[in-house]
Amino acid sequence: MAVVIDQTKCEACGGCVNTCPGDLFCWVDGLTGTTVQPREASECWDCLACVKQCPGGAITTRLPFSIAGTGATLMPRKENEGWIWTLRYPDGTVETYTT
Amino acid sequence: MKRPVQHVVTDLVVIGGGTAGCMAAIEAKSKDPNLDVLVLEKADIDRSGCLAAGMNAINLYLHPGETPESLARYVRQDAMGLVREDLIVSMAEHVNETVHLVEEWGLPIAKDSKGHYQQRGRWNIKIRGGDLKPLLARKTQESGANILNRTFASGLVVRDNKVLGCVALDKRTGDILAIEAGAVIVTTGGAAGIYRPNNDGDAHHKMWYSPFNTGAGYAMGIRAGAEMTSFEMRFIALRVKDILTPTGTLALGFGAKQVNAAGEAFMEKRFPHMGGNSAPTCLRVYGPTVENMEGRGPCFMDATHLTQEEVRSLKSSYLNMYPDTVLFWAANDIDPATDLIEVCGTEPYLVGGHAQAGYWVSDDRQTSIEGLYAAGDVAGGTPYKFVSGCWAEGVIAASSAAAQLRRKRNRSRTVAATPRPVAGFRELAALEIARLIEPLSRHNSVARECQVTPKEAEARLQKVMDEYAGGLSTYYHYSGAGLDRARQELERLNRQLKSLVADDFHQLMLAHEVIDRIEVSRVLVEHLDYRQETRWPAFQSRSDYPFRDDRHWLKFVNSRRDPDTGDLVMITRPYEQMVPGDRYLP
Repeated sequence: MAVVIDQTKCEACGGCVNTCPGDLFCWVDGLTGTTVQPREASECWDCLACVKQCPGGAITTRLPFSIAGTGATLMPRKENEGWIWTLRYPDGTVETYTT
Repeated sequence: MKRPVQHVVTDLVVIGGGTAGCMAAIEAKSKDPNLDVLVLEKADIDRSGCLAAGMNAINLYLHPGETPESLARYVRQDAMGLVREDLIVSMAEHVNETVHLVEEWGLPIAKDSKGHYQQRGRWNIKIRGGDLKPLLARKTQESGANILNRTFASGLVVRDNKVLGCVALDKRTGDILAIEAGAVIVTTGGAAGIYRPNNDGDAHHKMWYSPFNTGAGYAMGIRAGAEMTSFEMRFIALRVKDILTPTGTLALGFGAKQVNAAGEAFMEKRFPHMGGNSAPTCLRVYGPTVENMEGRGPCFMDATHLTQEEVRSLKSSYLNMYPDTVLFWAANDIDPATDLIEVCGTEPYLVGGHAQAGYWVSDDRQTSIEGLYAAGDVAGGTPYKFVSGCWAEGVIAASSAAAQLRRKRNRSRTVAATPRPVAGFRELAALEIARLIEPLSRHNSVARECQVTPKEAEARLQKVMDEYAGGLSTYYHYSGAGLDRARQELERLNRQLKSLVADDFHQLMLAHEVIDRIEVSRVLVEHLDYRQETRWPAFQSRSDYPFRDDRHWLKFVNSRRDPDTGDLVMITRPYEQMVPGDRYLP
C-alpha cells in the first residue's frame, strides 16, 4: 500500500504528518529545502486520511502491484458535509460518487 | 542515558483515543466536568484506530422488539454457547443511547418513512460514516479532556494490584511522561500483526483490522498481572480476497451468498443444521476454509443479481468505510454486477470486539487490577460489540471510573479529586521508563551484526505463529505438538529481544509494538494449549481435540502473569447462564 506525493502540489502544511494513523509521513531536509515524504510505503493501510485532508490535492493512493493492476485512480474532494469521489478506470472511463 | 522525565498528575487517564477511548473521555467529562481527564494517543485522535477510513454501518443496535436478553441469546449462539452474558446485557442497556447521541452530534443515519432507523439486517443500521472519527475527535476536544497526540503509553505503574498511573513517550519531542492517576481506562483496541498476514512485501499492511492496533493494552495488562480471558477465541474475518475489505456490506446490505468454484451454495449444503448462510460467524469463515482446503475453492460471494444502480450504491457504501475496495475493483477489472467476488479468510487477530479476547472485567468494566478499567476491543468476555458496543463499554467504564474517583474524593475530603503524589510511584515509574527507552541505547552495547530491527523481529514472530499456532498456512489448525514448537520459538525470540534496537522515537514505538505482540503471543499459545476441545471452528480449530466438549470445557480459560515471578498461571472461570434458553439457538 502506498501514497504518492506530488511535490509540485504539496503546500508543506504538515497536515498529513499530523493525521496519519501510522505516523507514516515525516519531514525530510533536502537540497531544495524541507519536504514531506512517506516514511515507508509498505506500512500504509490505505485509509486515505492523508488524501482527504490535503489542501493541495497532492497525495494520491496507489495500491501495491502484487494485488492490484495499475492505471486506476480514486480521488476524494470535500463538498459541503460530504465528499465527491472521482474514480478513473485504466481505460479512461470516469465515474463520480457522492458520499 | 539519563533523560528528563515530566511528572504529570491527573485524575483519569484514557490510554488509546479510538472508538471506545473518545467516548470514555467524553462521558467522564460529562459525568463530572471537574475531573481532570487525559487522553494518550500514539497517533492523532482525528483518524486513529479502526475508524480511520470511516464506517458504513452501525452493526449493533436494538431495533424495536429487541431486548438485552434477545441480544444475549443471539450473541451466545453466535459465540458457540460460551460468553459473559452479564456483560452483553449491560452493553445492550447502553448501546442505543450512544447511537442516538452520536447522531445528535452529526452522524448521518438513514431513516425510513416513519422516522425509524433504516434496518440493514437484524442488528444493523446504515450510516454515512466516512468522517465519523473526526466527529468523535471534535467532541472529545470540546469535552475539555486534555489530549496528548503522538504520545504512546508503554506500560502501567501498578503496586499491590492497584493502578497508580502509567509511563508514556511523546514521540515528537522524546519527552518521557510519568503520569500519576486515580484511575486508568485502557482502550487500545485489539492486536493485529501477530500472525503472518495474507499479503506480503509492499502489501503486508493491506489487512482488514488496523495494522496499527498492536495489543499495547493487552501487553501492559499482562505485564502488570491483570487477568485476561479467552485469548484462544481468535478472530478471523471473511473478507474480499487480496484487498481484505468487509463482506458484511455484500451479505447484509445486498444479499450476496457464498458459493464455491462449482457454484454450490456450500453453507446451505454443509451447515443447514447451523443456519446455512446465517450460521454463527466462525462457521461462516470455517465453511469457505474447508472448501479451499478440500480443493473445492476458490470461494466467492455472488452479487450478480444486483442492478447497475445497486452496484453504484454498493460502491458508495464501501467509499464510506474501505474506499480502496472501489479502486481495487476498477484496477482489476472486477464488476460486481457480472463477476463473482472472491472471498477468503484473513489471518487470525485477537480482538475483544468481534470476538472476546481481552481483559477479564466485571460488569462495571473494572479489570482485576483496582482502578484499572477496560473498554472496547481490549476488553474481553463479550463479542459482537462493533462500533456502538465499544461506545457502550466506553460509557460504562467512564461512569464507573468517575464514580470511583468521586468516592475517593469524598473520603479524603479534598476539593479536587487529584491524588497527592503517592510514595513509591517515582521508583516504580523509573523501572518502566528504563524498559521503555532501552532499545535506544543498544547501538553501543550490542554488536552491530547481532542487532535486530523491529521489522525483523516482527517477521520472525509472524512466521512462528503462522507455522505453529494455526495461521493461514495450516488453514488455522493447530495441535499440542505444534504449540510446543511455538512455545520454544517464542521463548527464544523473547530472550533475543535484548538485541532489539531503535534508531529514533518512531522506531522505538515500533520496537514496543513488536515486544507487546510477542508478550501477547506467548499468552495466546498457552490459551490455545489449555483448551482441549474445538469450540469455535477456524477461530480455534484444534486438530488433536477436534470436537466440542461441553462436559469439560464449558468454562472460560483465563490467565494471569505473576508480575514478580513472571510465571503464567492458567485460571478457569465458570460459565453462568443468566438468560434462559438453549445456548445453541438464536
